[in-house]
Amino acid sequence: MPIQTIQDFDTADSFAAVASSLLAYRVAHDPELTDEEWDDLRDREHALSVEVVKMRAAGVGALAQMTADSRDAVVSGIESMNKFLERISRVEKLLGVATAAIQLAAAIASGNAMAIINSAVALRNTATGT
Amino acid sequence: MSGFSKKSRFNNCRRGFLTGLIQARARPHPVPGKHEESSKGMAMRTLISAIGVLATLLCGCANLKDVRNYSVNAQSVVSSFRPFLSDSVDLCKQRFLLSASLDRGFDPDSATSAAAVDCQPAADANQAIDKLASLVNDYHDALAKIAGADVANSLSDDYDNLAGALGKVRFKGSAGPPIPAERLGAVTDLAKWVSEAVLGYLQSKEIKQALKLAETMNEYADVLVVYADRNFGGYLNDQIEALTKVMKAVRERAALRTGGERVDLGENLALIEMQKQRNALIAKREAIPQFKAAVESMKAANRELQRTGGQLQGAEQLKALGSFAKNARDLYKKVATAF
Repeated sequence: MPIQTIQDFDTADSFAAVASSLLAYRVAHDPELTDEEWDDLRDREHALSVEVVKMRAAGVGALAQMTADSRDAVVSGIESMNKFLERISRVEKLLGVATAAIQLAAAIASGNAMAIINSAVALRNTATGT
Repeated sequence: MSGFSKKSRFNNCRRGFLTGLIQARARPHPVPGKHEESSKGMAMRTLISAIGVLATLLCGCANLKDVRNYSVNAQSVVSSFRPFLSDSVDLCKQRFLLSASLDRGFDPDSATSAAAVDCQPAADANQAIDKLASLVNDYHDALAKIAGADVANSLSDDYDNLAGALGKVRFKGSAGPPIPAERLGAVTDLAKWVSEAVLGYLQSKEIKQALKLAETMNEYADVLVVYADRNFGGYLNDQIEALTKVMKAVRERAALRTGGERVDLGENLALIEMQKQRNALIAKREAIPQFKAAVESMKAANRELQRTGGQLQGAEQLKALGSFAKNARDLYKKVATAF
């Protein structure tokens, strides 16, 4: 992990610790604080918390960036795996069409009009994948 | 019916081959002439030899159960990671809201909107990690499907359907089917066996190729661990620490009050609520070391798979997979109860 990323997270943790101490101070000393002091403490705490979010976001961005170079290879690897699965499903479809064609032939040989229609529809559905 | 059991398809590939072979040999077609029989016998012997060679080449290559189990567990680890993403943003907002709740004239709606704006960088940064987690999931999903028994089982069912259709065909003037039922069954078994052996070979080949990406997956998993530890863990610790400090401050302030003052019910209720939140967050934090352990054992398992080309053998190799399965299960349970 790049040193900058570690520093981003470390600094964010330190800022967050100070921010929560400021919050606790406001709670503990509420009756003694003037409005001005109260607002000043709140604004400082808020500014620190905003920085915490930004630094962690930068750290997360840097983490994601570490994987950028290999992503294309992974995406194409997954595509290749899915293509393999598609090829298998095409073989399945072929067998399904052959089965439906044989059923149609059997129906024609039997001379049963209803069976012929049903088998023809089944063949069409299997072949078109509907 | 087929001599193949779906569950034991790969383990029984040699037995399936022999079943089909014996059936085909035991029930030869009645043939009119001796010369023709001899010619057919030779053709059968050639076919058997060819299938025998194929058996030698392909059999024993397709015990993919371990790859399938590994992939399914890896997907479970990714799915256990997902709540870390959404919780990071939620915890960020909670931290801003805790601070805002002390303001005079506190307005929950506007404070919630302001917290969402302040935490937007966290939500934006999450998108890249979310995509990374999706890639890890998609890779293992495809790997599980390639190693999945469903592929061959569905083909096996298709052969049964085809044989069923052929068995029903009747030509005019013929009482029975054009291919005797027993012969059809034997041929179907042989066809199934050859298809499954070829399919198993192709599956193994594809898996070996896919496992070349496993090291990259390990690197991605390491990134997810750093995210869990430093980002999600960071927001968790912030909120736990803030709640702890605020609760302490509230107690200290209450202790300073003179004895004659009434008990502040609102303050006490807030303490109860903060304690509840803090305990829940501490329970969530326990998922981080469990996630790390699951990823470490995932890496160990997939290195074994890479090393053996997906064919784990022996107690030591299988131990890596067993340990991964246990850690993935423990993590899943933890996330299911704590999140």
